[in-house]
Amino acid sequence: MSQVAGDVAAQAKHATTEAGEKWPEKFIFDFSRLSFIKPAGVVFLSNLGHWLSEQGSQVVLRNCDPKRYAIKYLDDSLFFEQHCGNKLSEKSHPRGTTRPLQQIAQQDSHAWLEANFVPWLAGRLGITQASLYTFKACVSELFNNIQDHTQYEIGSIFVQHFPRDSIITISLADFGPGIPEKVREKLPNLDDDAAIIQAVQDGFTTKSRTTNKGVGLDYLLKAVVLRNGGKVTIYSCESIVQFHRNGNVIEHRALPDVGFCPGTTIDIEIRTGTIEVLPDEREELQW
Amino acid sequence: MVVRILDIVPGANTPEQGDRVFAALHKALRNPGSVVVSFNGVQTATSSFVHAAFVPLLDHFLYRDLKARLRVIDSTRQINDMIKSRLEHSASLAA
Repeated sequence: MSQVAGDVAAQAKHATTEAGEKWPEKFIFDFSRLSFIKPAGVVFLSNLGHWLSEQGSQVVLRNCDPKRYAIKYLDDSLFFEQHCGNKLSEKSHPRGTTRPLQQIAQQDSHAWLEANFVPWLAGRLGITQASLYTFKACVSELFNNIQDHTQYEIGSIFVQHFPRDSIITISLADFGPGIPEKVREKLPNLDDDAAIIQAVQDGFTTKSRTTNKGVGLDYLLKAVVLRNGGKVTIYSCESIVQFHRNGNVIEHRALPDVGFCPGTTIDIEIRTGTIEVLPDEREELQW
Repeated sequence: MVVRILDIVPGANTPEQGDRVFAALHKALRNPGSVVVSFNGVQTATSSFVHAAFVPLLDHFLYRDLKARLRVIDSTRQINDMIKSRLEHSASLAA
């Protein structure tokens, strides 16, 4: 899905920059051959649609038969409600394993995480809410990054629990300028892969506010990859970089031939079996 | 003296909220004695909140003095780890 959506955006981008043509007035998303889509694909595609609309294009969705599994999944995820105003079928509804696709403004994100994400996930996993606070903080950091680095202050988020695989995926996207573009404001010679790897280093920030120390992505990788053993994948501009654990080290690999991703999509994969269970009782800081 | 975070801001999420907490902590620490910081009702603290609320205290007080005078209570593991790690990191850079 990321490749297909990336190709769409890349073609539109190149049409304007290379041939001097006008930005396309209309894009048609044809779902006739879609047989499977992951949470990151849902968020990526949704974000692409919002981004194209932001560029002034009309986005038309075709061949959306809710009897097909992938389309039913998108409808249950509230993709069509968000992009067309209505669900395709009255029978579609958010699945118990998901927090459906939604756009959340940065200023509303922290309350949503506290009142919606944490209680729902704690209930799904049968663990204390305190066990999930680190992951909640990771997502809060990402929403703060959206506010810091884009003019839109809105992110799209979709969460799914895969009980058979013992995995939670959290996919979050914005349609700002993208991590590589922001990094190159400080380090202009980096390509997209190198810029994403630079952006996750502890202390690297493109923001001028003195209290922004560029800790958010480093915190995310240490919490999810190093301590939990999960994975983090960052899609931005013409790069996809995946971070995973090898022994006690965070390693990364840049995927080849990735197309184009408007803004940034971050896919977080948390292993439910290695979440440290913590008591809900409050504690005092021990220096 | 007790500084209750939720009496000052609705959460520990943003640098702007951190700025307001810093002002309260700085004022409280100018008086002699201990300062109790209560995170009652707060689940998490972001790095940008901690960098705005706690780290600038190092411009005015030694880290060892802050550890001796600040008591953080009614908190969570995530909040405590974030405060401790960012203060330690910033203090080590300043040393």
